[in-house]
Order: sequence, then C-alpha cells, then structure tokens
Amino acid sequence: MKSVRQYLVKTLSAALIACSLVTVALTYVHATHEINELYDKNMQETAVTLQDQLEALHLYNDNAHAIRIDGPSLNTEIDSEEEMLITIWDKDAHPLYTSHPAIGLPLQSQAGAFTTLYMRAPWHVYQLRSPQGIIQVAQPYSARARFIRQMSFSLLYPMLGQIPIIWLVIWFIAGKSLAPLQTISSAIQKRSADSLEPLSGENIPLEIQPMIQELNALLLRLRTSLSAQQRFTADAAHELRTPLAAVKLQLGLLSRAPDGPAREQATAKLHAGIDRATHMAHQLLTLARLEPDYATRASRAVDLSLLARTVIAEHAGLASQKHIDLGLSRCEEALLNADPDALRIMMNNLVDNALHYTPEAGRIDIAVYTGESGLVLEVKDTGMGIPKSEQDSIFERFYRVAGTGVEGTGLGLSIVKHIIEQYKGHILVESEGAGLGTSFIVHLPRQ
Amino acid sequence: MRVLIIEDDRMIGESLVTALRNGGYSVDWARDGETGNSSLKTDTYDLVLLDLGLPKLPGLEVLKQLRQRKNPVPLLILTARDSITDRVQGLDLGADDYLVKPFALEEVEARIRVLLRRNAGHAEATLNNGAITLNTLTKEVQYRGTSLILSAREYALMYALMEKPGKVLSRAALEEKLYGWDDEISSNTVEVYIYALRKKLGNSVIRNIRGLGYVAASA
Repeated sequence: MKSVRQYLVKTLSAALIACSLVTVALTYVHATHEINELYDKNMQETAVTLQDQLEALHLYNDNAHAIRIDGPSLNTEIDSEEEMLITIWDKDAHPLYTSHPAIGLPLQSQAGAFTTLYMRAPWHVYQLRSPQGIIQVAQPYSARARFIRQMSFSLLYPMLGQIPIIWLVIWFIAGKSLAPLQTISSAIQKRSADSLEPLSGENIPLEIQPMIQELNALLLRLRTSLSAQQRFTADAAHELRTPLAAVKLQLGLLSRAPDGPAREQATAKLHAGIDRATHMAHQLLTLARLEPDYATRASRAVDLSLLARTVIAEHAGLASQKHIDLGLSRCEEALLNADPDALRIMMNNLVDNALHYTPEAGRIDIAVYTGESGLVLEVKDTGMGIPKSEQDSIFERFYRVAGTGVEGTGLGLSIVKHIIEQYKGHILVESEGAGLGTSFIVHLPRQ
Repeated sequence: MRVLIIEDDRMIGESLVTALRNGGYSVDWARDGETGNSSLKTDTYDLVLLDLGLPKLPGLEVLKQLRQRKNPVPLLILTARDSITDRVQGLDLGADDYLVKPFALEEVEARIRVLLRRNAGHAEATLNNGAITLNTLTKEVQYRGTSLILSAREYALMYALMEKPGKVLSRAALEEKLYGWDDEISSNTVEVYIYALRKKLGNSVIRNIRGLGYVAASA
C-alpha cells in the first residue's frame, strides 16, 4: 500500500534537492566567470594605479616600497580573494619590491592577463611593462575558488532548509485533500448490503469525481441486477405454487381412489404432475444459471450446424411418436464463439416448443446458415401458430398462450431470448395466426 | 349443488372437477376469465371457485363484474398470490374466502361446505327440518329412526331439498343442481334418485306435489 503523503514527501524532496543542486552548480559556473572577470580587472587596475604612482613619483628604484599601502606580508599563501601578490622590477628586471617575500613567483616572460603554473598550482597573472620597469600582480586560483564556493553554498543552505517546511505543508495539504475520501469511505461503511443508492458527489474534489461516478454506475448496475433477481425469485416462487398445487390435489385424489383403473389413472396423473413440477424446477434452474457473464466465460468455437444435428437426433424419438417430420432444410457450417451448453439449451427449447405445439403428422424444418449480418437459425413448424396479439408477450417469463392445451412453464422462450441477447443477437417470431404454423428466426452476429 | 370452477391450469382443474364430482357436486369448469364470466351471467351456481391469474379476463375482474351484477353466489378464491394486499383486495371485492395454492383437497372441500352452509343460513354441519337430519360432513341422513350414508348424487338431491326447508323444487331445478355441462342427463334421472331415496328411507321422505315438483318431508 502506497501512502500518498509519503509518496509526495519523497518525490517532492528529491525534486527539491535536485533543483537546489542544479541551482548551486549553475550559480557556481556563473559566479566563477563573473568573479574572475571582476578580480582580473581589479588586478589590472591595481597594476595601472601602481605604475602611475611609480612614474609620477619617480620611484622606480629601491624606494619603490614607499608607495605600498600594506606593508609586505609574511603570508606564505594567499587565501583571500582581496589579497594579491604584487612584484615590481626595474627596467633591468632587478627586483625592487614584493608584497609577499615568502612567495617567489618569478617574473613571467609574458605581458598582459594570463594564467600560469607556480608550485603546481594555477595563478591568475597581470603584467604591465613600461620603459621604467615591470609590475606583476598575481593571485592563485584557490583564493578565488574558496570565495566562489562560499558564495554558492550560501545559496544551498536556505534551499535545503525549505525542505522540512515543504514536508509539513505537503503533509497538511495531502491530509486536507484526502479528507473527502474519508467521508466517502465512512458513508460506504455505514451502508447495509441492500442500500445501493448513489453516493453524493458534493464537496468532492474534481479528481475524485470520476471514481464516484464509476462507483455510482456500478451501484446502479448492482441495483438493476439485484431487483431483476428479486423479481425473478418472486415470480418463480409464485409460479412454483401452481404445479405444486396440482400435485397436492392429484395426491389427494390418489389416496381416495379405490383399487383398479381409477387408482391407475390417479397414479398416472400424479406422475404427470410431478413431471411438470420437475420440468419447471429444471427450467428455473437453467434460467438462474445463466449468470450475466457466462457468455464470455465459457466461450469456444461452436458449429451451429453440428449442434442442430445433435439436437434433432435427441428429439427424433418424440417426433416419430407424433409422426412429425423433423429435419434439416438447410445446413451450412456456421461457426460462432460461444458457450456450447447455452446454445444447446437455446436450440433445445425451440425444437421442444415446435414439437409440443405441432399436431400429429406435422412438419418441422430447421435451417442453419451464414447470412449477411451473421449466423441464422430457423425453426419452422406447421403447428397451431401464435396470434399476432400475443407474439410480443411470448418471450416474457411465465407467459403462456391461453387455450393451447399444452403443458408448459412459460419459461422456455424467455430462456431462449436471454441466451440470444447474451450474444448480442435477436429472435423474431413469424406466424400468420392460429393453425398456420410458426417460424422462429434467430440472428447471431459474428463477433 | 352446482359449482363453477374458473381455473386455467389443466391439472388443477381436472383434479378439482374429479374430486367435487366424486363428492356429489355438479361441476362446470371454465378455463379462462371470459368463459367464466359468461357462464356466471347465464347459469345459476351455488358456489364459484375462482383462480386470479387467468387468461383473457383477470380473476379479480370476473369477481368485480359478478358483484356489480348483484350476484351473491358464494365465491372462494384459489390462487398462488399470497400477499396480504392480494387477499384483502380479493375479499374487499366480494370474495367469501381465500385459499392459497398449494392446498389440500380436504381443505378446499371443507371450505366449500362452510360457504354452502353459511349461504343456506345455518352454521352447523347438519341440516335439520324437524323430520330429516342431514349431516353435510358425513353425508349421513336420519329419518324416522333409519340412519344411512347417502351416495354422492343422492346426497346432492337430499341437500337441495333440505337447503331451504319447505321449498318446492321443480324437476328442472333439481336437475340443474345435480348435473354439470358435460353430464348426460336422461329424461328420468331425478326420478331414479328419488325412487332410490324413498326405497331406503320410506316413501314419505320426499313428497311429490303435482305440477310443482318435490319437497322434503317435515315433521
């Protein structure tokens, strides 16, 4: 777990230190240049002033020391930027004066401003020659470097000194900016599992708004799926009572039936009732298992035409019992990335329905092919048809067309529709009305 | 006693029809709200069993229209809807009782007996007109020291005659009480059952008033 505060403190401190060092480095380079220029000029002016005085007073002789401002120094080193080594020679290069007798920088053969090495250290030198004599002013690099260092580092300390102050400021600001998160988390903490109202975005910083929006979108999705689930459970509980009521009545009749044909008939009816309740439970379970994400979870390449052959084979027995001609009218390879079990349930339900609602000696044609927009599955029967007024309702859960005389749960087509929608497809029903047969046409887009 | 069942579920409908016919009721079965509604308009029933979730016309609408026509026939709602609101709504619209699915055969039969008794103006399980005692629970009849259990149709006939003491019922009225839509009625069935009752209990148990019909013996 990363602490935003610690992260800010660490990164900002590093940035500040880096910035300070860069500033110091740049200052150092710049100051070196400036100071060298200044003190080079200083040396030159000193030399010129000295020469003017020496000439004016005719002191280019052994009395040259009379013009000195400071007495000869006993220093063996020059360590202040203000201190210079001044040496004067007469026109025959006979030494007249030196400000630091202990330092023996010899007369240089070069005039003007230049750099030279003495005692393995670099020196700034300015030499002024005239017909009367030579004045040489010199300063070691080290004397100026110390000054430059001091100047640069005097900048660094206050800069580094800011860092702890900035730490405190960050600590405070981060705490204050993150406070709304605390508010949100305590608001979430107080909620019960079923309070899924959206979170308030009031007083929440702009940067956290997207998170609130996403959370609210998630809450909305949860709420929708939860209420769908609750509705389903309520519907299911309600619908389960009907087959159970039938079973209970059938059992009541059976217990009263005398031996013989009446008892056999009552037993058969009870069996049929139990079969119906079982089928209902099975269909409900199928629907409940079609969780929102199964379509993406169990996907693999499925050939719809192969699946159609399997489903037809499974229903061949029932079809021949009813003398219904069940077969494929068109069968082309139709590949789809999907959950084979879901597609099988879908196809099974359609074929099952066709068989139940088609009278004896009827015909059921199944077609699988690849159309322009994707895969197409058609299940066409010569059955009792569906009135136009009911064609929209048949996909609703537990909806049953009245007066068909066929037992059912009202769940089959809603399962079919649910599965098709998982694959972004759609289903059409075509029926001219009672007795004129029904076609279900399923379109599944290629992913 | 003639009962109308309005129920769309085939298995429940069949079971109720079988059970009530065996119990001596004449039963009509309407499989949707519209058929039920029109049967209630054209025929006279002693009791109605009404499902609420019906195709074509919802059960509550059938009930509402029935009571709007001032038809006081006892009505028992049989439904899977068990919320308090549903029950209250059903009872407020004029239902006499409310039974939630699934229910036992015995219970629906008991409630039917209660509703029929209450409608006939007596709360006990036995009908007594001074001479004849009829137990609606056991179908046992007592007359002049003879006591015996009646068959379903005999009981239905006896019940019809005992329901309103002293009332003379025509043969057609008795036939209606005895048979539903699908029953084959031969021309003299009512007489057959009356003959059987007289044979078991004595000729005087049912009197024939010529030109009017039949009446049960009293005192």
